Amino acid sequence: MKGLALLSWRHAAHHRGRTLLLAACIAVPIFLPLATRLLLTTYESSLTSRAVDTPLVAGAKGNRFDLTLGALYLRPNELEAIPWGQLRALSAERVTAIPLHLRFTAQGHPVVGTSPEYFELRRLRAASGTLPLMIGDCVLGARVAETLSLVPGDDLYSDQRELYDISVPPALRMRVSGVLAATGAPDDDVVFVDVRTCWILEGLSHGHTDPAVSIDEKLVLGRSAEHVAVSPALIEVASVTPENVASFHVHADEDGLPLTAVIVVPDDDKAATLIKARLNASAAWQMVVPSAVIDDLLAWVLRVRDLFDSFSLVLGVSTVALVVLVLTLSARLRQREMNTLDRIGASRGVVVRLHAIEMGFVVAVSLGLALVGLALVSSLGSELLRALSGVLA
Amino acid sequence: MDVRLDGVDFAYPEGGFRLAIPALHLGAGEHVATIGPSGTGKTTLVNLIAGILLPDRGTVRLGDVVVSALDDAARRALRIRRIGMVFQEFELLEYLSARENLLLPYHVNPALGLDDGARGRAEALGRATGIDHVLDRRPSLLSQGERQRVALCRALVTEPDLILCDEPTGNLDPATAAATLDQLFEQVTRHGATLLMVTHDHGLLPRFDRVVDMAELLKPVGVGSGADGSGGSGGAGSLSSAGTGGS
Repeated sequence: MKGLALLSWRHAAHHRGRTLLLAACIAVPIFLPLATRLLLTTYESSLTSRAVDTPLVAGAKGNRFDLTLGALYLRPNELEAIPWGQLRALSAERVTAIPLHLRFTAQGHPVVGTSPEYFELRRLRAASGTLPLMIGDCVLGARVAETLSLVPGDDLYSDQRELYDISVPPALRMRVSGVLAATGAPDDDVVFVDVRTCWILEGLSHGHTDPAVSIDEKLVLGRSAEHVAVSPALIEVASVTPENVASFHVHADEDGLPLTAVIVVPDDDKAATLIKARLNASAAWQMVVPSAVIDDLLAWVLRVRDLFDSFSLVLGVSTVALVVLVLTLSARLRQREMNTLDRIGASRGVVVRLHAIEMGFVVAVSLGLALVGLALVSSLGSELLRALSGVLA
Repeated sequence: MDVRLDGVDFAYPEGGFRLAIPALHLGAGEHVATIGPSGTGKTTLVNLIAGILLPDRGTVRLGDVVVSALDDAARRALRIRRIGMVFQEFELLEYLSARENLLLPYHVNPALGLDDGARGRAEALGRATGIDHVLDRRPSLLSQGERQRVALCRALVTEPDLILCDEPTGNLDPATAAATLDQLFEQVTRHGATLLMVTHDHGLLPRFDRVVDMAELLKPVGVGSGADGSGGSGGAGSLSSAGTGGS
C-alpha cells in the first residue's frame, strides 16, 4: 500500500494543476453549505443573544422588524419619532426606559443619543477615559476610535447635513470623553452621545455666546440694546463648552422632543405585561419583544438555509458527476500505463487501488481547502456579517 | 530456469488468430531470439510464457511450475518475482524518476518487499549500465538509450530467472541498440537468467544461442523442424495464423 501511495502521490503531484482544480471542484460543494450554516449560525446566535438582552422596545407604529433591528443594531429607521414625553410616561411605570436617538453621523459613523443606562444594559465599559455622558461629550465605540485614531480629550465633529442652508445647524464639535472596550457588537461602530446632544444636532436646542467676549468685530453686522447681528461666517461650527453649557435650552415643548425608539427594561414580568398591553393599545405606539421578532426573522433565515441546502445538493450531485467523468477520462488516458503494470506483474486490483488512493489525496486536499475556508469564515464571521449587513443595508 | 510449452493451443476470444505450439523448450540460461513477420504470434508467445495469456489447451511450465495451472494472483506473483519484461516502447511512467521507475515492481505487488537490498541492486544496476547519474531525472529528460537502460534495469532489479524482451531495440539507433544489448547480455549472463527476445533485427541474431523463426514455424503442424526445441533454426513447435493481431 505504501508503494501504491507513493505512485498515487507522484501522479497527483506531477499533474498538480489538474489535481488542484479537481480538489477545488470538490471543495466548493463541501465548503458552501458548511460555510452558509456557519455564517447563519453565527448570525442567528448574534441576533438571538442581543435580542434576549433587550427585553422590550417601544416606538412608533409601523414595521416591527425596522423598529427592532434599528434598536438592536443602532440604525435609523423610517418610522415616526416617538416623543420624549412618552419616555417620561413610561418611566413612571416600574420599568427603566432608555432613549435611543439614531439620526446623525460623525465622520460617517452613526451618532447614538442615549442615556448612561444603555451602557449598563449592554455591559459596556470604558477602555480609556470615562463613560458618563455630559452634553456635548461623546464616547466612541472601539472600532470608531481605531478608525479615526481618536483618544479621550480629542474632538470629533458631527457631519453637517446641509452645507449651503444656514437654517440647518452647523457641525457640532464634540469632546471625546472615553473609548469603549471592544465587544464585537454593533456598539463598536457607533459614537455615543447624551440624547440632549442629538437635539442640539436637530437644531431643537441651542446655547448662547457672550458677544462682548468672543465675537470678532469684523463679523458684527449690527448691534441693538438686546441683540447683536452677526455674519453667517461666524457660525462655522458649534460647540458645548464649560462657559456656554449652562445656556443650552430648548424653545419647544420638551415632551415633544424626538426619539427613534425606547428600550424598556421592566422590573418584572407583571410590569412587562402591563406596559406592553398599555402601549400596544395606543394607536400611535407599539411595544415589541425583540426576541420574538428575531425568532420570526430567523424562521425566514432558516427557510433561506434550506434553500441553500437544496442548491448545495444539486451542486454536490453535479460535482460527483464531474469527478466520475474526470476519473473515467483519466482511466482512459492511463490505460497504457495500467497495461504495463499488468504485464510486469502488478497485483490484481492495483489499478483500482491506484485511482482510489489518488482520489483519496484529492479528497483530502479538498477537505483541507474546505477546512481552511471554514476556518477563515469562522474567524472572520462577524466581520463578514458586518460587511454583508452593510451591503444589505 | 527452463521454459517448456507442450501442446499449447491459443486463440483470442474475439477470434481471427490462432497459435498452436506442440512443443517448445528453452534451456536454463539459454539466450534465444524469436524472429518472424508481424502477426505471426511472437508477442502472443511472450505473453503465454509470462502467464499474461492462458492457453486454451496445453501447458506452459517455468521450471517446475505449471504457469497455466496457476490462478491469476499466483501468476502475477510469479511474473513479478521470476520474470523480467522489457518492451519496445520502454513503458516508463513519466511521473516517476528513473530510480522510482527502476524500483516499480516493488511498488505494485506486495509479493516483493522493497528493502535495502533492492535499493542497493538498483544503484548497482544503474552504475553497471551507466545511468547512475540520471536516476533522479524524469524519463522525458532522458535519451532513448538511457530510457531503455532504465527499462532494462527495471526488468533485472528483481533478479529474475527469465527475461522476456519484446523488440527492446526497435526504437534505438544501431549504436545505442548494440550498447544496450551488450549491457543486457552482460547482466543476463551474470545472473544466469534465461533470455527470450523478440526482434526484427537479423543483425543481432549471431549473438544468441538459438533463433526461433516464427515464419518457419508457420508450416502446418508436424512440419516444423524438430519437436523438442533442439535443432534447426528454431526451437520446436508449430504456429498457424489465420489473421493478424498476434504479434
